[in-house]
Amino acid sequence: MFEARLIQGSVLKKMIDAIKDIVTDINLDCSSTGISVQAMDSGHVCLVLIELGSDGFEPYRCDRNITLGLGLKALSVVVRCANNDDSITIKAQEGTDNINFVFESPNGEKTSQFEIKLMDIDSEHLGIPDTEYDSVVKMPSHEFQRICRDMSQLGDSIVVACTKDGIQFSASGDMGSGKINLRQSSLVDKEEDQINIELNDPVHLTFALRYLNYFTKATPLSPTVTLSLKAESPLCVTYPIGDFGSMKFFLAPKIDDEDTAAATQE
Amino acid sequence: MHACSISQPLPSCQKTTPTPCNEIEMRVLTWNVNGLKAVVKNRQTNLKDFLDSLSADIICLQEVKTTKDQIEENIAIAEGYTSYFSFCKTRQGYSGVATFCRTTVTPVAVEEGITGSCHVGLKDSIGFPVLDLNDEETEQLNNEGRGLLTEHLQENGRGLVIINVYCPRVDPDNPDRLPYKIHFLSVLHERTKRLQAGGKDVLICGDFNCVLDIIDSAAMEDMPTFTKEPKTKELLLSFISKTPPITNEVLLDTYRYLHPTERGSYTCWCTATGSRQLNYGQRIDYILASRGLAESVVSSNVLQDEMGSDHCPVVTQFSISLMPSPTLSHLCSSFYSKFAGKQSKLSSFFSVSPIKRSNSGPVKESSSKKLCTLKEKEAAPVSLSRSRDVKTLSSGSKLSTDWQKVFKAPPKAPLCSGHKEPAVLRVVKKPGPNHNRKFYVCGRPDGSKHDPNASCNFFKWCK
Repeated sequence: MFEARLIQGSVLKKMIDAIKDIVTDINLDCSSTGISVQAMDSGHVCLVLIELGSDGFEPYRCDRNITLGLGLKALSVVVRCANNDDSITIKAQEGTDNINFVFESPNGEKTSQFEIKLMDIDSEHLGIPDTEYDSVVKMPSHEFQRICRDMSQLGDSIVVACTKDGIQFSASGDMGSGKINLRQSSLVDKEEDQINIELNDPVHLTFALRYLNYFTKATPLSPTVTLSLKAESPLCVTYPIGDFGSMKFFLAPKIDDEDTAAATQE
Repeated sequence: MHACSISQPLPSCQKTTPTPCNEIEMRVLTWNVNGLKAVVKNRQTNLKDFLDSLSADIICLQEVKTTKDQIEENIAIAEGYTSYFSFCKTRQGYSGVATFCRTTVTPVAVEEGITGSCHVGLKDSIGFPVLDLNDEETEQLNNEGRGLLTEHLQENGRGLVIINVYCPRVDPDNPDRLPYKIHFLSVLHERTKRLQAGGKDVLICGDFNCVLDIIDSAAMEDMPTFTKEPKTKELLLSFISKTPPITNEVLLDTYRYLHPTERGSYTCWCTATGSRQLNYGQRIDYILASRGLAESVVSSNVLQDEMGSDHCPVVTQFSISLMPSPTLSHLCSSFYSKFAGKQSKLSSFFSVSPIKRSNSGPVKESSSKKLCTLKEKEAAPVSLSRSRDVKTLSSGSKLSTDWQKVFKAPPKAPLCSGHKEPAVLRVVKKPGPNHNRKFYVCGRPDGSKHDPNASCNFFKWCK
């Protein structure tokens, strides 16, 4: 028996919205400590990692570890039927091939029930190594979304450079080029508007903007976002979910192709 | 000798050519994909897996329907291939051809446009252009993303030029395009002659938008006297032959050469009438080989099981061996400034952990899909009988007749004469006196007159 009730059902809606363009199916790995999801896009370039602790649910019951395979299309259709202030309960009985979703309005006058058929999804589980990042930048999530959107007008790739002076995003294409610099903020009223840069080593990495624009669909989940960068390693974009979980996106960098570099110099 | 063993062996060589090394072969495939992005997306796969599934060394695609501004890396670059595009410069989301070459057969030169005149003087041009055209004509022929040439080096030292073409289609509503099409085809023919005179072998792969023979069109099998675009057909027949050519003037239709009497090998079907279901189509996609290649043709097939477009691929295998060029043409899509840098994969950073899933639902996806289809089939007759019930129940009471005046049920569709099945309602789209008039026709897909499963010629105006 698995049962988990999320008071703020809108969180689930936003999470599904954030990943439905990247992956088609997900496995919910449920254990006594919480729910986790790991899914990779078909090109094996980016990975989504959702971790939700059991303390974010009331009640939370998971008698034994269970994996629930779900198609995101169905999940998205069902979750869209919930109102933003509804609570959402996820239920799965052992030995059945369905998962249940119950939406309850805050005053308890309306309840809706949906069932989705479970799927057997084959997916590779990647071991994500504990990484000490060279630079960790925390900034307002809407600011990051804006930067990615603006830069994608100029080119397909974004160069992220972190130095002691701050973080620089740049892109270039046939039309021209652009640069955006952000510096550590000194005085701000709200903590969530702050830009905070922890720098161990300067880094300089290139990423495909297409994926970053998928990631920033998670912006409604959190007012802040954290970018963790390490030379020649995947970028980690973290959106905290309340104080009980997080949604992380990993993106493999673009590397300078020797052939390409040689040819452009010609 | 096999391509692997020549000059610079690329690391992907061994993987991509599973054939034993004493067998020489090169597979060329042509496919009008009717939107490359959509085909790859609908197959829920990525570009590399899509190309691999076609298992050819050189893949010529037509109607890729994208522009240089819009194209994204996920449909432009695939590992193990080099790719080249010619986009339509005058309209967005229209026409456009692309050639993908395995890295074992990287071309030595690439040209956009069939005339070759834009590449005169450039160091990696193929040469032998058609120059006796004015600037306007040249621009018209080359600007619509209809021609892309790749030149490959054969092991015997001869150049092999592969011309990927998307010939103009003449819409019956827009006959003005016919002169353009005729001009396009004659210039294409002229270029192939010049290339051969220059000592090169030529392959033309693509969508010609023209039927050559009665057995290549289901409609003509029914009505042999009917010929669409007789002028185009006449022109094409003047240089396409079913038997190995003896001059540079003529090209060999590789499929018809090996399957001279095979019927029903259509490559294109009308989507509006569902004619693919009954294979009521036409063969308008060809792989044409010049004289020098005729002896090397091994096999040719029409891959009617490949779905995703209104056309299907055609593949021809040749017993020739190509040598990869050590340098890439500047037209290679990986040199587009927006694709600078190479996308790495997560698997090169993270290792696969052998975590076993604790417990998954007992039902597999396939069986759940089975469940769905079963229910759908049951549902159809149920809903029909239910609506009948409502009518019989309500017909007696006065209240319901009042309501029936308010909400008129759609008139019952007449039964078609051929199958006694409810006909389907259509609306006249063609401008004219009958524009917007409604009519009933048989609901079956289009097919041969003699096929009882095909649409019967039932027609009735709706009153």
